Amino acid sequence: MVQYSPVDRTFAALADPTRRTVLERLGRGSATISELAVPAGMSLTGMKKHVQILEEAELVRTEKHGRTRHCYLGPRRLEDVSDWVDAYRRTWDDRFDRLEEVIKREKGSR
Amino acid sequence: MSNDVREGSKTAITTPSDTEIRIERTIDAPRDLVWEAYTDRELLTQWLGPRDLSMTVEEYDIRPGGSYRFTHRDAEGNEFVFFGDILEVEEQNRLARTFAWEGMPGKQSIERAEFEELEDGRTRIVVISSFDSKEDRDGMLQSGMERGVNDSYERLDELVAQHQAG
Repeated sequence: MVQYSPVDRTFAALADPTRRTVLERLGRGSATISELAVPAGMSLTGMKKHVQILEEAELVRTEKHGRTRHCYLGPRRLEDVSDWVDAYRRTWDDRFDRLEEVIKREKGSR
Repeated sequence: MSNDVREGSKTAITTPSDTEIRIERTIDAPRDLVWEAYTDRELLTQWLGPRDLSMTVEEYDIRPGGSYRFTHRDAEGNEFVFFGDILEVEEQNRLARTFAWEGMPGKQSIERAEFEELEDGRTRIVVISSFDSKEDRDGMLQSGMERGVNDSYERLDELVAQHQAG
């Protein structure tokens, strides 16, 4: 079983076009599973699976009202860029570490 | 979120405005050597690309009006081509260029790098990338997440492209 970090989970959740459409839709207001399923041309079961993945990534939260499940945008908003910044920083950290290594090698070979 | 500096990280990434990314790092080497590593075609291939990708430089003409083009290749043979024009070169001080990726036609950013020699013989590099919109800027920040999902480049490309288009 592969263990996914929260960043991976967010990314995996966002990697699917249906799920991105769901987030766009929920950005305009809450919706039930069937209100999400119909325009996507999907079964309720299919849409539930997508919503569940989004829920695990905390991009969506759901509440059950009677027999209907209502979906809302979750605590982890797309506007929350701290994860992206963190990953971006690691890329540059790595890059500049290598820049230092290259210079040390060059200096050594002179 | 304008001052996001972490312990243990030597690079500071900040977002001075909605359309910019600022990268600051102090390199433990004098400025002439940092400049050389930054502008020499052979040396560039040794540090710029991700460790797990190979890199070739098709063009690297660092003078005003010059241009550059390089390609990263992954193990599956996928190619990521980056290119741009050189806008400004002030030897050892300043380098400004456009930056674009073939995966996002029509989108480009402007990257201004400044090199400052510190009294202790180290060099501070500050790079400011300016984008046309917040969406473009965020798309670039997201692209850093590729490191966490090495096995899904294609999905990443798709996501970033969608994000840029949207």
